[in-house]
Amino acid sequence: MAVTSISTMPPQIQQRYNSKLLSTPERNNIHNLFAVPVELPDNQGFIDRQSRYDRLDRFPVPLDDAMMNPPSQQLNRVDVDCRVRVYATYIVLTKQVTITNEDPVLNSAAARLGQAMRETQDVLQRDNLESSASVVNCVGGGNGDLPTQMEVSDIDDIVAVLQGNDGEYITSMIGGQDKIGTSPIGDSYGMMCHTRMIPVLNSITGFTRKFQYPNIDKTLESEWGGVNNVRAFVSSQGSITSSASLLGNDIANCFVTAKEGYKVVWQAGGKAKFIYLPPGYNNDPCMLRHTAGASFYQGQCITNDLWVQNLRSTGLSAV
Amino acid sequence: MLPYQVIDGGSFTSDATAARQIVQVSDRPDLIWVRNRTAWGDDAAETSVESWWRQGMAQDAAQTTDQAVTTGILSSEAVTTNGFRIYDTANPPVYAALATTAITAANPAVASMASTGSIQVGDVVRLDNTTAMLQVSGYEFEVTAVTANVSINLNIDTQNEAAAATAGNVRLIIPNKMYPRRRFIVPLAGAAGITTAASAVVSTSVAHDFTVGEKVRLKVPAAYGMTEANNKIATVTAVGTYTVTLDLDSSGFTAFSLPTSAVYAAGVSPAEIVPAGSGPFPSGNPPYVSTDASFDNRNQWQIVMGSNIITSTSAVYDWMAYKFDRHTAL
Repeated sequence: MAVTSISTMPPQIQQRYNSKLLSTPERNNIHNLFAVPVELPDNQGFIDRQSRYDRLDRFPVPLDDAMMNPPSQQLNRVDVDCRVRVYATYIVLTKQVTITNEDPVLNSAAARLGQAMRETQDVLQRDNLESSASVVNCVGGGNGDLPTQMEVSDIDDIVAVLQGNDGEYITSMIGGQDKIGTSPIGDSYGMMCHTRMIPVLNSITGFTRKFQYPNIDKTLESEWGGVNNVRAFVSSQGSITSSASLLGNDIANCFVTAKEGYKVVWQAGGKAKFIYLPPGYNNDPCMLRHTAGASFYQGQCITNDLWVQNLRSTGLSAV
Repeated sequence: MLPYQVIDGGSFTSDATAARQIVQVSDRPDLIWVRNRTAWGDDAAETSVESWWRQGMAQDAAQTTDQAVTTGILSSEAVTTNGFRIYDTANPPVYAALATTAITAANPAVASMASTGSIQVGDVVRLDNTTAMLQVSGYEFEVTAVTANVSINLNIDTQNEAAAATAGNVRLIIPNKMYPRRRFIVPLAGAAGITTAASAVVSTSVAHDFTVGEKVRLKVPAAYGMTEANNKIATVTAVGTYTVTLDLDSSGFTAFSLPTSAVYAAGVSPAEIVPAGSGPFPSGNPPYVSTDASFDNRNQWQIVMGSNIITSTSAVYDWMAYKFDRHTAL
């Protein structure tokens, strides 16, 4: 029997282009979540200076009956400077690419440039925090390393440090509700960490996953959960120091911050830009190449070193 | 983009002692060329007179042209260590751990290593698994001397530690250049990590970037003794490469010392000096607050030219870095 199959009659066109694009993985941008945003006006240099006046001594001793003036106090000020730098990248596309592809390539170029820009802004802050924040090693775990894996006692210690430094909480309490399996969440500091910390977080005694919050109206997708006045946010571009523990294991730098602990500075005239130049620019006399670029200005700094701590943990999931 | 463009270049005089040179470039180069201008045509000593590296070659590799002493005969050489190292300091390469068989309890501490790999003077290394001297594990140290494939000197004085390490790992690291960086406090050259004096002197395991007038805070956990200094903020009044003098009177404080190996193993946090802002520059006229302590991103692309490239001290070198517009690999 003669059978006509695709072996003898293949389709003239063997594929179709499905114009629905596949998702591009996008990292959580968590490191600027708690940063105080500051805009540096144009034509006033490239360093943003903010000042803080030190507390004066308390004066509990009463004046005696002679009413002599007491010794005066010295008023001190600390200046914190933050330099703004410029960042830029671009893509060169031949005109042939844009007139032969079925997909609007330049649209995707714009989207990917935007993603790269936001992720860069985030890692700049991450590296700033890693560079300057005080280190506190987790010691409450039992894995025999230093730091150990994070435990609830380490969370309590870091809360005590920040409370002892008079750091204000960032988020308010999420009160209990009559919902099965949920737990209230206290006033909290923010903790930014790598996704490799997820198994460690889940194993912390008393850790409440986000789905166990009584109310998730005021949460972000990057929030993983909380325990005893610390709420944890995770990102695949969190901070890891490779092979840095006592036993040579990777360390997660988990930045725990109080309100106004650090800031991000943008230049008024240098806000994020997408820059498209059609063929004919950039030494392109034959009009063969487009360029699509992105640029931004940013500075980042810790404004009060007492209010940002790097709580370091091991026990991370494998790479 | 122009084809085959030269993206950077220049000249420098090599150091009088250390045989290495770091130059900044604007992007990752595809081809690097270096010539020893002083030795070119001068056969007074055997030297590498020209070196290059191209895309596709391994880190630390290079191809060099050597000039023989007296005869001036040229010969070719391919090196796999201490050649060119190219990286962006924000995303540095990760180096494999090298074994150490002993770290002395001495000033300075010396780590014995059958292979010193690409470690050179001025590099930063991190230790781990330092058996019997755990209190240096996890710390970063600058390397102050290298005897190739024998030992390296670490920037720490361990003469007061109870025991030498009998094993461990040494890993070369490239520090990120976000500024200012916190630094570990360690005993150095006979001085405690923080001296007890009218003006305390703090020693760091790696060269620091603190500047005069800068405010710093000391973090001293109880295991390090000098708890009186913990959380104290002070102004920097003088600096050395590894030392910071503060306007802090520590003369009545408990002595600073590293925790014992056993205490360290039980769990402690490091002693650190942390940036905390700026104050008036001492004796500034007119009075001012320096911007030297600004938080800043100083990361950059770098070419490190190792000891197989910079074979002459105090010699003038010319260099160029190229970027291909097109590169076709084999």
